[in-house]
Amino acid sequence: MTHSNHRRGSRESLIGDWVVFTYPGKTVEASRKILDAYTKYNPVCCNCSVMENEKRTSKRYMRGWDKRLDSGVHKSVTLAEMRGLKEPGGWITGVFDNKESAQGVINELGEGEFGSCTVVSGIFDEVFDFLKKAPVAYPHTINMSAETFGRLELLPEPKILEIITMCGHHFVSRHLAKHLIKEVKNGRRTAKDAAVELGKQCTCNFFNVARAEKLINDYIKTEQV
Amino acid sequence: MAAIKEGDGKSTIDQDECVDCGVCIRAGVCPVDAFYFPETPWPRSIRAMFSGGALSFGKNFYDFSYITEKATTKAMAFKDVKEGRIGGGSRGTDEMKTNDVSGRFKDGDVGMALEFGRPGVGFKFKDIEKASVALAMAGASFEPLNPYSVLIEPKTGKIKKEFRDVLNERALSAIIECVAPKEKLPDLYNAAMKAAEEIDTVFTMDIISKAKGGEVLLKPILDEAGIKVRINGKTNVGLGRPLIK
Repeated sequence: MTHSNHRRGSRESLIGDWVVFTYPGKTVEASRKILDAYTKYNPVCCNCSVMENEKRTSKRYMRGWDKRLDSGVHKSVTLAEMRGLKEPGGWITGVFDNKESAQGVINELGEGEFGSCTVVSGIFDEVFDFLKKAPVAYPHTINMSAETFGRLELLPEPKILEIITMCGHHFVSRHLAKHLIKEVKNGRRTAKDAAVELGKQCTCNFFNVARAEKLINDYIKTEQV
Repeated sequence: MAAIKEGDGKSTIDQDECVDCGVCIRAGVCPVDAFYFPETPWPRSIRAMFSGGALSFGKNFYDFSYITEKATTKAMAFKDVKEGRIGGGSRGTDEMKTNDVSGRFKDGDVGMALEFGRPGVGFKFKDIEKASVALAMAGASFEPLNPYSVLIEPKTGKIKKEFRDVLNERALSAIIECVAPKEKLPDLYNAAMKAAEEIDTVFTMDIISKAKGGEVLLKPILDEAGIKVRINGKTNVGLGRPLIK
């Protein structure tokens, strides 16, 4: 699952886009501490799962997503509720809008010596730079994105690709993105709400709504809607 | 996919275009709950399996009995989706995310993945087969725990005789995952480029390399072959234990 390998954009835009992913803790206590590290650094999004009625259920925090915007199977939790989860399980993931927060999480995971595999997605030279100062952590293996090939004329325009590639499974449709941008342009919803509506479709919760809000506003300023 | 068509005051789903990803059902935005999954027998059921639209088929990520048994996707309404876990099963594997404990990619290896249909275009299995055949000829070894690998002959990359009825089926995405000695990277890349000229969709390429002392081991080969990579991607930060350096 290359969940966050092909996020597109300029360096200036990607500097606000960091995804951290940790495998389950070896104990519930370890998972709780890992989750604490993620929630401490003000994530844009955070995700983990809990057992509810004998089923594993994802708990999704996303900045700007409150109960008012819940729909279908997409239910939000607050950051406080995320922090309060007693028995977090499964993968724990977070999206951050600044390098320092991603670095902070990695430092805490290194100091905690939890032993769970962890991956950071972001600009390589920035990651390699902060790992030089990190306790324990270092670049072990990397996965590089070597572009897209084939019938490139089937792709949406680059500015829409910047938005939709923030869901690596491509559950965020280009058509929904364009529809919501039009709604924002016509004053029917805010860019923040439109970003959340897009982010909800990304069930792994890797969609950076803070960056999407900026990209939507930028699109309206510079493109024909 | 643009599978939902509007006209004559009503909306319909173009069943040829639809990849059964389930996004419309999960969204729960239809005021009269009109969206539902019809029961889909094999080979149509392969669409949901590779589009994230199926309720969990396997007992775990690497239980592919739903493919080998050519399972039927059960009919689902929104209430079934609410009660079950939709989107189960994966198109890929742990790849380099756990390489610090699995040692799957070694210093002398290149890992390559072709993510077919991504971003957001979808694909037909007859197209992905062209690429897996080309990679096999270039010396790739396919990852056995990947669901697409279940469909193909490991030596030839050709979709097995018993699964050839999926060739014209569409899905949202599938990933070819392979590994080879790092010297073969230019051959794999060129094979993928040749396949790219013959397909009716897109794929996005991943190249996996170990790092040592802050250096990417494949960088000299990438530079020499003129293979361009983006500035961003994934870094396994070596926190897994027990560690395989």
